[in-house]
Amino acid sequence: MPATGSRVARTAFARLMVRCAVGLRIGSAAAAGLAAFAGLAPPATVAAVVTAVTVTTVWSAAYAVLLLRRRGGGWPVVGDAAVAAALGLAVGTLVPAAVLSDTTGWVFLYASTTVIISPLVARTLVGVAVSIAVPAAYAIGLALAAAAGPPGGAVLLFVQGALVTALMTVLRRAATAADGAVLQREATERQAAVLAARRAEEREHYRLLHDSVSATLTVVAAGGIDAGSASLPAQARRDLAVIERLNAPDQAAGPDLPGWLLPVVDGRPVTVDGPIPAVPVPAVVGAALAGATTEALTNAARHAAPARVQLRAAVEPDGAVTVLVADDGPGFDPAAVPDSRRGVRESVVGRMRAVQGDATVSSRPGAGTRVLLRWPGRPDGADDPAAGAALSEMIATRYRRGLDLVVILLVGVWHVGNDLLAMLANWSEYRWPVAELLSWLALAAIGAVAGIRLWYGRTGRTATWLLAGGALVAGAVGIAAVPADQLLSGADWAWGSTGWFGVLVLLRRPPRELGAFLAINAAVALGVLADAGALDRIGLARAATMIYGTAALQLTLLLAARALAATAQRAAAVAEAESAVRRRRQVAERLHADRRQRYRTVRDAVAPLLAGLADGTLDPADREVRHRCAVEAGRLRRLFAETDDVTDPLLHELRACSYIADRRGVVVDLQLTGRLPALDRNVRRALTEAPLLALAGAERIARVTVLGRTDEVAVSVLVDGSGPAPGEPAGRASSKVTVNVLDEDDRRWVEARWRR
Amino acid sequence: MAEVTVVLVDDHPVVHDGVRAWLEQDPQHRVELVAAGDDVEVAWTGPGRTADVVLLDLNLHGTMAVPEVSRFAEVGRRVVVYSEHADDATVLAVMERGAYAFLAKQEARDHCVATILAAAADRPYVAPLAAGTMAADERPDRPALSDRERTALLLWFQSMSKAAVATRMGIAETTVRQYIQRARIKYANAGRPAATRTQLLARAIQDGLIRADEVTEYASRASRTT
Repeated sequence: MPATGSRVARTAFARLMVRCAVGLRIGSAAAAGLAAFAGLAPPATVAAVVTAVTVTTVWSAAYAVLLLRRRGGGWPVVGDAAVAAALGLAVGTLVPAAVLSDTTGWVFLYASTTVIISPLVARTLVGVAVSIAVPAAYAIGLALAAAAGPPGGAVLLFVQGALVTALMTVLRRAATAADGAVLQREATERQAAVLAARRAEEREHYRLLHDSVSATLTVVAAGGIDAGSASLPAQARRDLAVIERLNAPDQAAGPDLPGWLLPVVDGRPVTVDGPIPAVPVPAVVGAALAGATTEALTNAARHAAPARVQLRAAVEPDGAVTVLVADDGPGFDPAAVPDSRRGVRESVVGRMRAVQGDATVSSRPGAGTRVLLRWPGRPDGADDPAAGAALSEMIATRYRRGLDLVVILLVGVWHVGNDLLAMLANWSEYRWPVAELLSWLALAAIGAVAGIRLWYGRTGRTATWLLAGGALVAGAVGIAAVPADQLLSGADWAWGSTGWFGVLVLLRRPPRELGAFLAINAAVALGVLADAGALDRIGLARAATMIYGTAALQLTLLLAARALAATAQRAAAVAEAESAVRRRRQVAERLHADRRQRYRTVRDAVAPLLAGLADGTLDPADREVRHRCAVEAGRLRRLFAETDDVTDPLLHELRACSYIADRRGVVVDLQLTGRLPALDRNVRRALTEAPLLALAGAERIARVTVLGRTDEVAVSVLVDGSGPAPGEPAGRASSKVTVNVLDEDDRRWVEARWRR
Repeated sequence: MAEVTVVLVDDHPVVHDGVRAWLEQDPQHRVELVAAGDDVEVAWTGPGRTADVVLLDLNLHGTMAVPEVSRFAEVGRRVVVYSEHADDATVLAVMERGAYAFLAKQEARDHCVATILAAAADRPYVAPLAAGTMAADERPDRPALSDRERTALLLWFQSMSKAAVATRMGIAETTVRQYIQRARIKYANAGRPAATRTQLLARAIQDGLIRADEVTEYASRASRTT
């Protein structure tokens, strides 16, 4: 099954568990096979052992192949349980009498591995079934062999299986949680990306309109143009073309840098300094550079004429593309440019920032003006390496928490459930029971400290090594207190358990440190065995079984923990790639819808007006036409203002509405009392529409007042002069917005009031 | 001979000329500027000491003269405050301290004669911006205005014409005036104790804007909110 966004982490985790199971299966089969022959003694028979080892070896290979192919449990797990159960039933003919009552026989090793690895790769229920069936068969086998004492090995097998099953549940939860988090993060990011793309395009379109349609309408509204103007029809036609471009689909690849800049400088009084480097630039960047350059040249022509204007384009050593527009005109004071002038702020700086570039305008009165545009030369957003790293870090952290918890629980449960019970059951056997107890307590304390350190991510070397050394000493004391004839039996819990404390202490350290820890632990145990004279052939075989049993699982766990980081990285890469595809698709869909709507809105409002100006059927000097231009220019300004991030959008948009009146020479006084509640865009539009129309009719003065209360907003405009009376606002918000118009003498008073 | 004398406290000499010009624009020349200075001392000494009304610029040499309002109000000096700092909090603070009226600087030209004349007669005058502030007031312990009083304040703020307000509300212009004055008296009633507050309320009782039994003792803001 291919990994999908919703189960990336779980899939990666399952693969890792399969590899662990296969490694442990093959390793334990090999160790068990060697121990089987090394420790061959009655009641084991040669024929039975040869048959059994052949079966386990062949089966282990088959198990590996089946599992790696299927990438999951099922039949291989059932087969493995069947092999382990068969070995358990026949245990009386496979191991020497000395190990029948303890856990150092090779059959126990094989069966133990089976109950541990089955839950790694099978469903919980299958894991539980194996944890019951295999110990049961082992218990029957022990009974058939008429072994003395209780079937301790069978109980231990059951405990191991149950424990691992429980721990796997915890780990799977962690993986599922990681998936949920990935999914949620992805959704958030997609939303943000869509929003960012929509706003970027919206702003780009509004910049286009600002420099063309809005500028033309403002000039006509201000009354600066008469019917005989030769330039107006041409400009109006170009503006109509701009509106049509709002509806154009994306251009995947645009022209190169000269392709964008040469049409801009064509026909303008500007000297191009040196060749324009023919580097490819993304279409949005090219459009931004061309737009910002146009604005810079227009400003230079407006304020610096007839001074010399120069343009220079270059590619910096770091790959950044720069365009410099410099003039030696009178210059200006950049700090003195008011906020409401969109020219430089939006058209130059905003344009460049929208494509991750930047623009600096430096000017001093008397020292000319320099506009430097800079684009850093890398594609934006799409393949952000930081995003992938953050995602893989997130997945890795989730896993690590799960694994930390598993190790802490494992050691805790084992130290109480196995070690403590074994110690108490054999209390009278120990050479020095108090030393044994102290060993147990010391390990418990070390485990508690190490568990806390692990959970809080403390990995300092000195403290870690002190804890590891302490665990080794405590373990050695625990082993030394065991009488010679009880070594390797249940009383000798310390040997096997010390390794787990090593895992707990050294989980975040390099694997070689745990390797050294386990080697020292084994050496101590072997030394004690040798000292007791217990290292005969059978003793060696039992010791080898023990060493494998106390090291393989621990090292596997540590290596699995380290593999998680790499796993998380791969999982994150997959998730990131899939999410990028979804993101792009959604962005494209939303952009298309936005574009159509914007196009229709603007076209319906201003296309007839521009068409009339273009073909001469509308007279730009006519009062009525100028009024219409003022209204539409005001609406466009308000539209632009709606995309700005400001604390008081209503005031900001009212100022945008007032701007055209201001340009026509009307003195506008704006008064605010009270506090404005947050209003939805539709409400703000309904509230500003009638004032906008009134402002378009103002002759010399306009008083704009805004009163804000929690549940009421009143916007009022008082003007001298009047245009056509505004009607009720249209749209859904209108139900809550009422408009009042009062014409008295030569004054018009318009009030729009919203009530919650 | 002018009916009313006024002393001007403002630290901009050009404003002195402006105020003089606005007073002269009144065809009947009812208000005479008897003294002007850049410090409140001018209202406590010489001819300024006996002027009927103190016209006080709130921002004197970079500090807000709000405490000065209390000093005048405590001894019954009728203060009209005008300021560029026309934020809601300043307007309300000045009224709370017993000033007769608040004028925003851009309102002073059109409203200063009417305000000074009303103040000299111990009557309130509400200029449009102060009216807007009262209409927008949402403090929990604000005076309880009736809907019509609040509407009259809001429309006066917007239109600056009581005739237009009367048309919008469908009532007589005198009624509009009454609504606005009554709202202002409710604010005086809630203000701090001061001689000017007593003067304003006494006159309002005579004019029938408020009944004597409606006049309440001032309770400090702290005790009103607990």
